[in-house]
Amino acid sequence: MNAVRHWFECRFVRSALGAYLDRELAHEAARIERHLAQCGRCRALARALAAQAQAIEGLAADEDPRAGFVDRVMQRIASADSHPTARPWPQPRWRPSSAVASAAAGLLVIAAAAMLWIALSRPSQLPRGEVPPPTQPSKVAKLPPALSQPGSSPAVAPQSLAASSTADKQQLKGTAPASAGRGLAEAAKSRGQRPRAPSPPAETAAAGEAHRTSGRSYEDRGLLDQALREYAAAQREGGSQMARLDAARVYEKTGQTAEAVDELTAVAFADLDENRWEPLPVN
Amino acid sequence: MKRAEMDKPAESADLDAVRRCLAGERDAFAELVQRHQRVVYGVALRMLGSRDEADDAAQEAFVRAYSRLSTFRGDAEMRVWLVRIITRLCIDLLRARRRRPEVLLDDQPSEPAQPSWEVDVAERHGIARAIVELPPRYKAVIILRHLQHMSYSDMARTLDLPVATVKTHLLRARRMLRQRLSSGSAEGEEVVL
Repeated sequence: MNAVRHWFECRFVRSALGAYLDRELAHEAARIERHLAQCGRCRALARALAAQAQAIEGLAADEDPRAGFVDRVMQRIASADSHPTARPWPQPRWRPSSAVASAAAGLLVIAAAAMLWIALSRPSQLPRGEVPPPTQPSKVAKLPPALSQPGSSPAVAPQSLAASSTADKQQLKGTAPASAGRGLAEAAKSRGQRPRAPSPPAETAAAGEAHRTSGRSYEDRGLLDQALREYAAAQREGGSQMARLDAARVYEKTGQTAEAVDELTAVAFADLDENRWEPLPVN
Repeated sequence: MKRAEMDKPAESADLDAVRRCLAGERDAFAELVQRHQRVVYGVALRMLGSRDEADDAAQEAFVRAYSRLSTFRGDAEMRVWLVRIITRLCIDLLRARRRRPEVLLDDQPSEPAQPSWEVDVAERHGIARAIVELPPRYKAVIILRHLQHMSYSDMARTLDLPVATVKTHLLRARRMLRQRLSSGSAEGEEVVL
């Protein structure tokens, strides 16, 4: 097993070991067991985690309150004079009759129609020859190309993972700089590689086992390495859900299953928050 | 045997008590308090680290449960529903008070003849103290997972968080526990959790 593959396997096992020991891992248990059989460091971690769980579970879960607890609760209920059948939040005191409601709705429709008529009949207030500013695109339209439909825009090259954290926020606010669409595409170009079409977002990957992409394993290690580093840098700047999705894309590129992508992104966030980021080995 | 399997008769007794209570029989609620007081108080004690505060929080949780009993539909266990109420209540209390748990732990026990569990256990293992010192949400996931044996999806519902966030919280909480427990020991290499 080469160093990069081992790095990923260790990383995956570190992230998923808790869920494995909690029997909450759906498909990757055999993979973890295979790795544990050959990696002493991860075996030590598994033993430590199991011992810790045992120590916690050795504590008493339930405790007896002081004598008279039930009476104290019932007294409190009686003094509050609350009723279990009462609705959890207050209802409006006044309800409009249906006739009033119909009249109000009718007035609203008339007002809306009048405003529309005024707006359409007024001449443009722009000075002659001035081009109206483009309307503010919606948040959906401003999603980074990596997360939009492939081929839907000329700028389909994946964005910089570093930029994605901060620039995505700026884009959502409509303040993205013109340079926001750089990154992986440029990195790929500088290496003489063709920019890749974006992978589907993590949610799509989470759709199930059918999304297994093991055929593409590690073919673009250089690109992946840079992407992970940029992602780490983006995280240190503040992090965002977009960076998380970008990380999921990166992990997908390495042929991880949907479940593994989920675990890996979870541990990546925890690592970066705690400044534990361990870069990819250099071959 | 899982806790859920053991509690089937108690579950139907809970539903019966809820029905009677909603029909106006207030004393039926006392049965529910009697049956679940140890769980609710236990969670509060682990979360807050003080018997007095835990007693007060557990009472408040039952009062809230009573006033919202009409919203309990029986699709989840009464125990899980009550644990959800007490956990959220404790998280809110911990955040609002912004008090260091050490202060609570270092308080003199209110009943000297019966040493509080936290001092006793902390001296023996250090684990109880380490749990009490965790941030509220991390503490909650450790307690719900390891002491209440909740599934990840139940924990997510209880804390009103996505399952992925519950996993991340668990990972960080376990790391933090490990760091705190190993910092005082003579173990050589730190194991990254």
